[in-house]
Amino acid sequence: MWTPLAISVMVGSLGLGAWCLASGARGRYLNQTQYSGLLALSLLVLVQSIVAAVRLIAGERPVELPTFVGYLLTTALFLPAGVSLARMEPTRWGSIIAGGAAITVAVLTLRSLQVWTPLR
Amino acid sequence: MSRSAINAGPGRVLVFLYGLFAVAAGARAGVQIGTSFRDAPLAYLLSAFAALVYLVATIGFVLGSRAGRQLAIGCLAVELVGVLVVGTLSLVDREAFPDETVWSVFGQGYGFVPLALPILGLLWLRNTPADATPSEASSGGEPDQPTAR
Repeated sequence: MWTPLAISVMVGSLGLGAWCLASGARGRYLNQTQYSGLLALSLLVLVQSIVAAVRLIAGERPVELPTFVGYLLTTALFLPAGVSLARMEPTRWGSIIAGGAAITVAVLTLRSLQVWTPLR
Repeated sequence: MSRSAINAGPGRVLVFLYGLFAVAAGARAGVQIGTSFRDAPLAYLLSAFAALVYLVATIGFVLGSRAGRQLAIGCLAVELVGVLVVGTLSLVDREAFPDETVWSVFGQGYGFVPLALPILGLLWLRNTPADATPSEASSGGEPDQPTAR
């Protein structure tokens, strides 16, 4: 993990998630900006996963390796899966799915960071 | 499209949530069983069982057919009983649950979503026509417009 990137992902996904949920609450589907934001966020998450994978291969070991690998895979795939599902539902409910997926990514990133960082 | 009412609109949010919990409970069970099964076999097997129930419920919702609907109802009932029984037991007899499961303390570790999910799911299924072939759905069996909430 690279902490500055993880924090950017968390802030970005919380903000974007809240915005998508707000659109859903107002009965609207995602607009182009929100959609582009979700794609950009997916890319950031992918970069983070690659950084973490490279560091694992280089020999670094998180505190809980199996848990970390589980989070790593889930986090990388989660947003693309959520956005695909949201696109199948071009109504307010699609916005709610996308918002929920983005906020879940924030939680997953936080948990990844927690199991990566050695306890002192 | 042969899509019936249970997996559209709010139903698709349920598909998302059930998929999420299938992955969450499944990953947790996989890690627990793979790394420290001896510590708390009951709790870990319970996690695996919960994951399976979430997975089958997800499949039921995605299918959206009559059989899928029955499958989902069965899973949601099992889930509701599971979260209530395990939630209660985990408070009464902490010894039996040395490690967390998704259903411990009514799903506290997951923001109580595991408790809310089967209730919302069953309410949603009750609001959708039991036999939701598109022709019948258009003849008055359509669920209330979800925009009302």
